[in-house]
Amino acid sequence: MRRAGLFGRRGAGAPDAGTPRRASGAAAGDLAGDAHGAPSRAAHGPRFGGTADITSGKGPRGGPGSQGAGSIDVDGVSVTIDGTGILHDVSLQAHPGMLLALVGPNGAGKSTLLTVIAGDQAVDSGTVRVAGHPLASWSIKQLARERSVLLQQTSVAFPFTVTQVVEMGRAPWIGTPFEADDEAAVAEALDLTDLHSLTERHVPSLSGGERARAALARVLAQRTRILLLDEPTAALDIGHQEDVLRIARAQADLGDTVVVVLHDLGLAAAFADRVCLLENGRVVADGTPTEVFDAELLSAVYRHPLEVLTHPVNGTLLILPVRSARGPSSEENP
Amino acid sequence: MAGLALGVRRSILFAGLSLALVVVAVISAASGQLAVPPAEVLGSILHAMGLDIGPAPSDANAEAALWLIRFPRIALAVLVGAALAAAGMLMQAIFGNPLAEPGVVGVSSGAALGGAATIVFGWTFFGSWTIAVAAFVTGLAATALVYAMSRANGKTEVVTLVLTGIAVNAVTSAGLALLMFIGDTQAREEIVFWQLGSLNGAMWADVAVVLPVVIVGVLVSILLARRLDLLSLGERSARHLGLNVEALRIGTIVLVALLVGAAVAFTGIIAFVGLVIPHLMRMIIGPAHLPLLIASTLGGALLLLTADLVARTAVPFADLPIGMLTSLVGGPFFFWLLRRTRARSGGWA
Repeated sequence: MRRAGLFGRRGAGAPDAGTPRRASGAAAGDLAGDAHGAPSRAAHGPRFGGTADITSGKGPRGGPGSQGAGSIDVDGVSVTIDGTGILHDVSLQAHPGMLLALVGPNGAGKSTLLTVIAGDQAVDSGTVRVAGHPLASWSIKQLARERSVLLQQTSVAFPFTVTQVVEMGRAPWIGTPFEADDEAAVAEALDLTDLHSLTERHVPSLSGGERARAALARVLAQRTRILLLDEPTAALDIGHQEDVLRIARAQADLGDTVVVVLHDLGLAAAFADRVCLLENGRVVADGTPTEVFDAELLSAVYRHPLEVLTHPVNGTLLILPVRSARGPSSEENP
Repeated sequence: MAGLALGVRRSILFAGLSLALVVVAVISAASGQLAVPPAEVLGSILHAMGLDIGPAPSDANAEAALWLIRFPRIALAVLVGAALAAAGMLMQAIFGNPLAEPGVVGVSSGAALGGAATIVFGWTFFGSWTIAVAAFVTGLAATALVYAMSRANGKTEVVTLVLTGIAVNAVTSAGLALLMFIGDTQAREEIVFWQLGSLNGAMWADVAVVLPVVIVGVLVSILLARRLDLLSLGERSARHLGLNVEALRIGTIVLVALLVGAAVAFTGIIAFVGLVIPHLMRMIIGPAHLPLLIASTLGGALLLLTADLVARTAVPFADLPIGMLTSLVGGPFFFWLLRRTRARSGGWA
């Protein structure tokens, strides 16, 4: 029932009210079942069991469907761009079921690290393995069936509708048995991102937040084991920020591997299992939010005094800058 | 999005364009200094196909006028219009910019340079294909050059694209001027008419060269159409969806050069067809590239066929240059589009 909670911002009947335009009756029924009841894992084809059938034949050495599926293994990676060292000897791991947050000040190398994992940026040294296989052994198409990427800035060159853009997320599965899931995947993605009322709108005419959600829906429709999200909350209001992280959390709980670059440390503390703190291209801390979010360490990394508080009711960590001018200082607080 | 569903709108558009194409083709064949009634035009075609239906042309010269002059001209207009519109759409797709067009950015004049050189130097390496091959080669160079120069960070900004077009057009104009200077009087005259763009003197031999190129070009474009959709998301996102962006880009550039080279080789520079038609079609049926390609191909054929009818019949005993007509309409349209794009993006981005 966890996913039912995602629809909190809409009426309880929302998934039915916004009947997907293209979905056949059967597909819409599946969707509603998926949304209201326990998510049916089998319906997620590409991520589970059956995947090995199509990918193992083509996948590199034993195929991404074999053990290690969904895992990310970055080992001693260094990257230099135009003579400037961006990443230095970075190592980190992520595995299915995990939501890993990459945090750090501007210019720390978070986005570059995500770009490296996505396979867009060559490394000077070190290795990146996806599902146990070095990135170099993946073809562009195979990789697209294993991981999806949401970039920080997304734009659509021509006036495609929201539905058309989300349908593009199904491109990697053309010609595979999972093509049959297209309608269900698109409808589910539109549902999760609360876009049913905007399906026929042209993407370039949407607001920044709506565009960001459409891009996220496209990524979700791709239905890959690994999701790489680069600041997915940047253009969103606080309600939709929560929604996006809840969606990411739900995907991780379903067995996906989610790596997300975040600026908001509070969001990272609330939703991530693991946090990787970067500074000047180096990993300075890597662990659970409680381990990483140490006031002294954060204050040093962000070069600004920060305090870490515990929410009095739910116990999540709150990371706030120390402000003296208008409010009481931290010393005065118990 | 009021009105008809997209699928219905597409069907109506395809059917309407096809019907209009047939009607204008018949009218065009019937019109001219020697008027042939439309019924006799159809009769002549049916008779040639071995069907004894309808009236044969009554005038002794009509049969010859139709088959030697008008039909090849109509065929060439249809093919060249289709090629230019398809090439325009392909360019817009890979540039991610609705203002990219073979004429505007200098691909057409690049192809013209190769064609003009063939005339001046009397090259005949490939027989009747020589001029088309030369136009393809220089057109390809121009396309690749424009693409390389106008891209920055995976995007083509409008201002860069237009300025690159000016630069490329300046260089190719200089080349054409040099060729006119070198050439003899006859070559000069040919180059001038060709710069203006004209379907005058179209022959079946020309059609025989253009037809296979356009068929292959459009068929391959159909195969690429869905991938071009992904390119609208930007290069990186397209790659994340499993698209080999480099290969698509190179393939599309070759296709553009092929289509433009074939068109320019026999009709000279006819600008703006590739700008106006895909844009109008996109307004009617949206940007999805497969239907857009089909609609653009039909629309480009219709536009050029109609423009040629006007060029031939507007002024008695004169054959106006068709490139002049399309630019007369296309120039202001381009300006309007430029202003609109600027207003939308809040600057010259």
